Amino acid sequence: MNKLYLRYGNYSSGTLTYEAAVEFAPPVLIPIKIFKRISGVDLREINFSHLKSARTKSYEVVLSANDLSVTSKFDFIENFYKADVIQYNLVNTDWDTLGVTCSIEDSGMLPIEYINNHKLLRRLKFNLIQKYPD
Amino acid sequence: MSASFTDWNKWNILPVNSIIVKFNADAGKVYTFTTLDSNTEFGFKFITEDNDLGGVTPVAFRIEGTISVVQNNFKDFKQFVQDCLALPCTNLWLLLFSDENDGSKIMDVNGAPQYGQTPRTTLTVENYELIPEFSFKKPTAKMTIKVSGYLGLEIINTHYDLLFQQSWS
Repeated sequence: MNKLYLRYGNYSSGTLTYEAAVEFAPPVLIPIKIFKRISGVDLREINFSHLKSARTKSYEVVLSANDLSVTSKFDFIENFYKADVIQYNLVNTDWDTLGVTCSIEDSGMLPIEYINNHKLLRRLKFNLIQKYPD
Repeated sequence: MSASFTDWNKWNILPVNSIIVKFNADAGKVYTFTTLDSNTEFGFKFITEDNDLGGVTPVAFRIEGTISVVQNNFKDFKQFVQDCLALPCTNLWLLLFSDENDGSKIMDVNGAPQYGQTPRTTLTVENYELIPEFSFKKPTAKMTIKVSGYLGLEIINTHYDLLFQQSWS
């Protein structure tokens, strides 16, 4: 079973304060690797491809009813989505070095589904994209 | 004789002794059914989610069953039918025959969870849908209640013995 710890923080008078991390057991936790390049052909007709950035710590995540039927965890996710800074960690220690600051690919609506049309059996699929390149 | 005793296919036992349903977390809205017909049955299954290893992970729990009650005094059940229509059914207990003769396990429907009961109060998700049907024919009138419901997965971690041990012991 996968384990994922999420935490979020908000700025108040210029000071960032993090809330306590919450553990999740996502059924799906698949790594995403993102590379961006500038490619082209130079004046001598030689191809070039320069690496601009690499992001190797992003994940596709599915949180399901095993976590989200718990109201406090669902409330946490709502706050996570609207926080100033969000981070994940695969262990709940050394957040300063192991925590990865992320952004969420957002369509404007919380992408929530209801298993068997039960409003408490909630399912949420989203991508945690590493904010800063490696 | 001994052959039929060891051949479980020839057993003729209804494993469910009685069933209690409770509406709306209200202490007064509790109904006990003890005169169960052999059509009574219950099934438990997991609701699963596709995982990232090509398999499935359980994320919730579903109960489906049929309670078939032999009953000639339907006047007593007027309030029950009204509650089926008007109130959410929040708790359901199955008392199994393996538990019947243990005096220390008499159900206290408003107390803490006990053996032989599906638990309550501590679960995030517990709700049931009850659809009663009535039939009047020989040899007796019957009330049949179709039950379906959901339980949060935490029942496995916190109340495993309350649900499973009694169901299969």
